[in-house]
Amino acid sequence: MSPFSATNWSEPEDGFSTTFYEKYTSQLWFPEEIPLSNDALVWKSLSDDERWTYIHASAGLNALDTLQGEVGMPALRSLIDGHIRKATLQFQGVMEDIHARSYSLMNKTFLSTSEEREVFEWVRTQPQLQFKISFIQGVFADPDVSNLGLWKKLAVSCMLETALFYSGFFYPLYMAGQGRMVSAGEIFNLIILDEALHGVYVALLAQEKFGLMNPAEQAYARAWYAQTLQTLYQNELAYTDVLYAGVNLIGEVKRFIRFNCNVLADNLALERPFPDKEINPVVQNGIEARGTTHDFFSAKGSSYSKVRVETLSDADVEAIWAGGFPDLNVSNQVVRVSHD
Amino acid sequence: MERWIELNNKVIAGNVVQPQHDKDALQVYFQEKVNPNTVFFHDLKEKIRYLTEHGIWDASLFERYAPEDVRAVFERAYSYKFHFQSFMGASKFYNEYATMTPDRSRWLERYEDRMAITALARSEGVEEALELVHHLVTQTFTPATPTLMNSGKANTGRLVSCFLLQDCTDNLDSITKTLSFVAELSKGGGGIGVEVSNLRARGESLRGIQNVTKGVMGVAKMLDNMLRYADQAGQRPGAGAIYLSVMHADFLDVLSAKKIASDEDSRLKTLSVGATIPDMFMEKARLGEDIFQFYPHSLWKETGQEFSDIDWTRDYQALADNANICKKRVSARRVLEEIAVTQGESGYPYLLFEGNANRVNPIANVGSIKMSNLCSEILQPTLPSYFHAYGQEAKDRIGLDVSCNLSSLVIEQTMHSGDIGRVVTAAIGLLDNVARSTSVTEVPAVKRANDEMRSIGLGAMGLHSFLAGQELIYGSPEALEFVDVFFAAVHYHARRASMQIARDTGFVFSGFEGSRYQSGEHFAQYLERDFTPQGAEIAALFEGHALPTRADWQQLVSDIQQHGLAHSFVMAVAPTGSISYVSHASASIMPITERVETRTSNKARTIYPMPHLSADTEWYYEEAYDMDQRRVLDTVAAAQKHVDQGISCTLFVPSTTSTRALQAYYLYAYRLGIKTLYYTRMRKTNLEECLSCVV
Repeated sequence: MSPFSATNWSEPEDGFSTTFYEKYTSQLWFPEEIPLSNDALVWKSLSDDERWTYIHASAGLNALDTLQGEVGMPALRSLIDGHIRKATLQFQGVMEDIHARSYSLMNKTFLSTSEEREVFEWVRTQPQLQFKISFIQGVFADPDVSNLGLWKKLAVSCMLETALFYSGFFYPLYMAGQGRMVSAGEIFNLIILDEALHGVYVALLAQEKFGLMNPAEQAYARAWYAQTLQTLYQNELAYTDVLYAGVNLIGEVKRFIRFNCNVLADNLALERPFPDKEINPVVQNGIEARGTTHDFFSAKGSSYSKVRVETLSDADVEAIWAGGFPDLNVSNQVVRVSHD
Repeated sequence: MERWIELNNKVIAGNVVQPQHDKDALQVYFQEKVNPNTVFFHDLKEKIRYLTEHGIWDASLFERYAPEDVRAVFERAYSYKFHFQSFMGASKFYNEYATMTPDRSRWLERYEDRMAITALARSEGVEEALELVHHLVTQTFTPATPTLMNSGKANTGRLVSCFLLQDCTDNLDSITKTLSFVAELSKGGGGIGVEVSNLRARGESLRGIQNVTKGVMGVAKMLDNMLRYADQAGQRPGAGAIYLSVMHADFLDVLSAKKIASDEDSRLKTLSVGATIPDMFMEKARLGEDIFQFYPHSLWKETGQEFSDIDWTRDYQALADNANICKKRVSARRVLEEIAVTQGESGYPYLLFEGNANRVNPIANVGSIKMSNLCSEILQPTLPSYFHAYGQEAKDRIGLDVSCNLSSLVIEQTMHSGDIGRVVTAAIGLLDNVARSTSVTEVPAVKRANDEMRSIGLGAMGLHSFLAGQELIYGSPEALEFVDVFFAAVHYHARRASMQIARDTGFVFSGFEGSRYQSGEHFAQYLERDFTPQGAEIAALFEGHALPTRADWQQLVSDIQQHGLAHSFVMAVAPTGSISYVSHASASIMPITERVETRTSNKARTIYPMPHLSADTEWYYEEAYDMDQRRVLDTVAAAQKHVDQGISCTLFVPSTTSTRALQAYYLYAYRLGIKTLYYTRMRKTNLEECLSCVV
């Protein structure tokens, strides 16, 4: 057994993990920050069908995030080498759990206890959702840890983060874009901001593994991917039929799923499986992974994050008092991370 | 989904920005939503009868005018063939300002109707109303939201919606009184600033028992909850800010309440926090020394002084040396760094540089400036009130609070009108009318201040959009020159209008005697030199406008000495949200944040391309986050010289910013004499930028 080493952040294991780690930790958030109860009155004004779709879409996402936090991310973390990479994946896992908690808080805010119970029971028995979960669990549990085996695990993780979550995301984005359920929409924004990064990071690890395979393995991997995607895509269409029947959005959601499958292919550097089609512009603007301009008095906004702490020096102060300004591009020596 | 929302979202859904989709959205919005859903009246008479009989418009309003005068005002409103320039502007107006049927299914007013009725309500004669409706429809200036929304209505809400309270003195009666005032004001909407520095700190003694008080946070949490509870019948939760001195022992506690990783019990969800910072603190920060933060109750017991009455620059050393006063030691720069960290995480606190505000306080004879409002542009002396238990109200002492009564010039339209003086005079007339029509009896110190001081605040918006249209770069020497000349001219005309009202009506605000207005000291800079354009480029912009000269100012100063002024303050530059969209202007005098804004509010997500955005103007629409913030601060400092109150000044920084940069900006702003800094906004690096540095 080789001796156990400490994490050396001064010697990065690759060109991107440190940046991702810093980006993730800087956008740490908790659902308690968003005043969800602001939406309570709007919730009451929704029709039964609208409420049903909204809450079941979230409940399905809760199950998938729980899967990622409990099974997916720990599996990847245990198989990927490198302290910094492991730390980065672990933090992703933590955020998945926080996402799951956010969905649960929504249930708690908007539903009665018996309604809540019904929704959780629905998750346990919904066939497409359970199929999706057990299929992906199967891949994570596969004992094959060769480059190909690892690549498969990374690829299904990306499928979740970049494509399979989005049948659920569609509705809250669609609603928030029209000014309904705006606080809950903020939570979805924050989650999407996280998932977008997770999807890209894990895809970069996957591309690396793909590059290590020989041509025969790569051909096999492509074929496996095409078949897996097809299976899950068909399942997703059936899930959409169930979830969106009451609100008449089935066609739009399916287009959105195909759109995200294409994004997934781009991230994994594979060929896009579907022709490019326009998606609903309101939803599209909702998934732009960026902060939004904010009406400060009504919601929190996804634009704030942890700030880098760097000490002001005597020279800085004197420069300003002398009528000048310090060169902010030249770093002062003492840099430390906020301890809060 | 509604078609105009989809069209509006198409502006940025493609690979290139397509502002023309916004015009389509605007057109479809009127064709499919507004026009078919507007109640039809055959003529004006029928409209007035219906609306007054249904209790929508105030019937007594129409008794003040002859029918043909009312008709003339409406005809004038419709004669301009007004068109909205953006979907955002139209939807803001029709969603938030235009009166609808009680079930909110159909409109009872069009844009012109709202402007005509506002002009009639806010005028005393037909000539005045005709002049006012001209300005309102052509948008040379726009009154603040509550004035525009509520004027002329029978069940009218208040015409003002922003208040400052200094009633929260250190006893339970005052605290509960403040809470009830806040609830009362919040119920009608708007923002409330509350000064809390007089409250004893956490752990101080209560009735002699040590270590039992809950400090400022206890009261802050109650305010936070109260504001969310009294939410205008569910329309919008109240909004409030507390102002706390950095010298208060609870300061860092309260600051932490705005951080991300605070536990639920110690978080302030929606309450904003402002920090008041004395000169002495800035000096210690400069020297890199420690300061003491004091426990107010202990300080009061030893010296008999209220916390907010202390002149820190004069008294700090004696208080620091007094062993009987409880205090704690902390590095001034460390406090400033904590402020920066919290701003990075939450946008808050606002900063109020007390020294800068009070050095140029024109009515120091009335009192000192200790606090600001929710948007940090209101700066007036306040005096605390003292309340007593039920049955002993006779002992109450009513101090001075503030109600903010605001309007903003639209710079582009004001400049194009060719007559700044005419625009400003009309705007001051409207604000004066609002002050006279307002009586907030629920909060006695607000009523007293409005009755006696009649303060108003004229500001401006659309600076960046005007500059971009003129192909001038925001924050450039030419732009700064424009700001200097423009605000000097606005100041002159505003003050002159205030003097004329005093002269013509005999009303002079209480406190004029002994003020720096009376001594002329407040106008010294204008008697030293002319504030007229130096360069030909800027001079060309002001062609046709009568700009005040030194001789004009001399005359005005002597007129003021003779007749007095009707208003304790006349200017304040508010951040302007909704009204700038309606007026098709960029917000306030800040730079734009995005060439195409994505705006999320409780109404909807709306896409808003900046006014006149095109391939030609794009280059001049540099986004705030890409700018060196000194350009913003220089712009604000140039205007501040001419503004008797304050200016909402936001810092815009990329997420890669460090606390060091933020602190450097604070010090730079302080050195320029800027009085307040509003919140700091941070742009998240988006995924593409993030990846482009790594892959």
